[in-house]
Amino acid sequence: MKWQQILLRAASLVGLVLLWQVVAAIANSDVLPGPLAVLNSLIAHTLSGELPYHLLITLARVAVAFLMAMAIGTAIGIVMGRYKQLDMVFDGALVLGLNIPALVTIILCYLWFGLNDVAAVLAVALNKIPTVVVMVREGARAVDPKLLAVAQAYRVPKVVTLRRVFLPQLYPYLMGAARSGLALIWKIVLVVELLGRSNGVGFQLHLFYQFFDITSILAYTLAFAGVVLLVEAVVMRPLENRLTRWRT
Amino acid sequence: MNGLRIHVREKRFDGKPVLGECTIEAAPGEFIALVGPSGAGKSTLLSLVAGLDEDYDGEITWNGEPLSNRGESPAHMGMMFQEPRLMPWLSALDNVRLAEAERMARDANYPSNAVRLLEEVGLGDATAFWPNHLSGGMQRRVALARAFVVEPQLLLMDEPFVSLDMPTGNRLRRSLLRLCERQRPLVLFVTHDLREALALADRVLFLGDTPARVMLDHPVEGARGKDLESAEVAHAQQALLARYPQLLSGILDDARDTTEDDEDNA
Repeated sequence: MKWQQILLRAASLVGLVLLWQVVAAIANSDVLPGPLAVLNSLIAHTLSGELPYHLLITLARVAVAFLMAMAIGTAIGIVMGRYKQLDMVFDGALVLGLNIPALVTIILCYLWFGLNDVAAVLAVALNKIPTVVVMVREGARAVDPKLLAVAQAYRVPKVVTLRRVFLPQLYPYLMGAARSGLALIWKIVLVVELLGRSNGVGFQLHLFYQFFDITSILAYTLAFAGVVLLVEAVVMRPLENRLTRWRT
Repeated sequence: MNGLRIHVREKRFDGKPVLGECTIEAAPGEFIALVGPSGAGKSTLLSLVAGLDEDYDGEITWNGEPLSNRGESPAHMGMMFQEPRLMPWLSALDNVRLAEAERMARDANYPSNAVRLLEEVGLGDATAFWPNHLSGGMQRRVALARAFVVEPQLLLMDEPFVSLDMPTGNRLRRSLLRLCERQRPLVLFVTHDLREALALADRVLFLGDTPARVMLDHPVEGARGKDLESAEVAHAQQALLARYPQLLSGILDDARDTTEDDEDNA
């Protein structure tokens, strides 16, 4: 069963690469280089050390922005889900935050805080926080008062109640927020780098765009996709399995 | 007054009174069953005692002192609900230990009794299981162990064995009585099953009327500790219902009184 799943996943990837090769062969143009050319470019960029350097910088920004957005968004989400009055107070701001275009936040952050990493990470986090809030608030509203009554009846200390009774009920919502959050943050970080940083994958892509270097653009994209798949396989899926193993 | 004294003047839900003037006194170690039709406020009464609901007019005291601070549950109180209410993400053992968290927080060296209690309710082999790998009866056993792990002086039970088949229910009731014998908590046991009340309690209190009050305080003799389908329980039930035919509907009409009235008229 397990091997079958792995085989299926691998087959779908191989299929995609083959499709790419076929389309590239038919097009036979500089606009769409084939997989082999891109792989060669990927190896060259990696060996020169420039791709790992920019990739690591981007990853660091993603990590900081992600942790910040999850922590702040979760805290606000729980408070809004549990206290009706505060929910009403902040709901307007939340709707606004959800709908402000990412570009506006990014530009404003750069204008207000300067062209630095603080502004860059802040802009990414600000874009993500509202969606985390919305998902966690949903979870906090769905927390079972019957289980909380058990904790109260047995005088379970507040910290233990949070960790063993309250948060486990939020895990599915937190996992959902983390998944969609990572997906969004990958995308926005590149835009932020393109607009105001002099390193990172976004900056490099901008450079290749100006040189019309499609092969390098695809090579960077490939490296990036690899990292995303790795994070999913090494961090997200094991974490999810661990948090939901009691359901089996 | 030694023990528990519940005096409720009034309890309202959405402006509608559910509990009226109502006084219940119980000595430490006494097993009291609360019986009445559904909606008679039995569960409400328990949540007032448990400190889960503080919106009422009245006092609940233990040896003359308030049983607990308002908004807080009493220490050394065990509670079982209509559902097992286990945390599905905690093993049976961790569910029981959750009730010890307060003791652990106060005294890091506090020796956990969770394993011993799970063994006593017959779950020594299932301590590592998650609740959804346990049968309904086993889940109640975990909840029972959790209620006793706090060394309760006061045990509140809200129809804890409802919707179990008869043999499973009987086994759980025997476990409960065995644990009670050693720990001697004061038990308030809510049920709508008269036989269950007679098979467990020293005293049965009947609630009825709207808003609810205690209609009848009935001492139990001879049926305690017997299975629900036993002759002793059936006999005690028949005797009681012969005298008060509408008792379970919350109406106290003494059949004996009416016959006496008839004789007077004749």
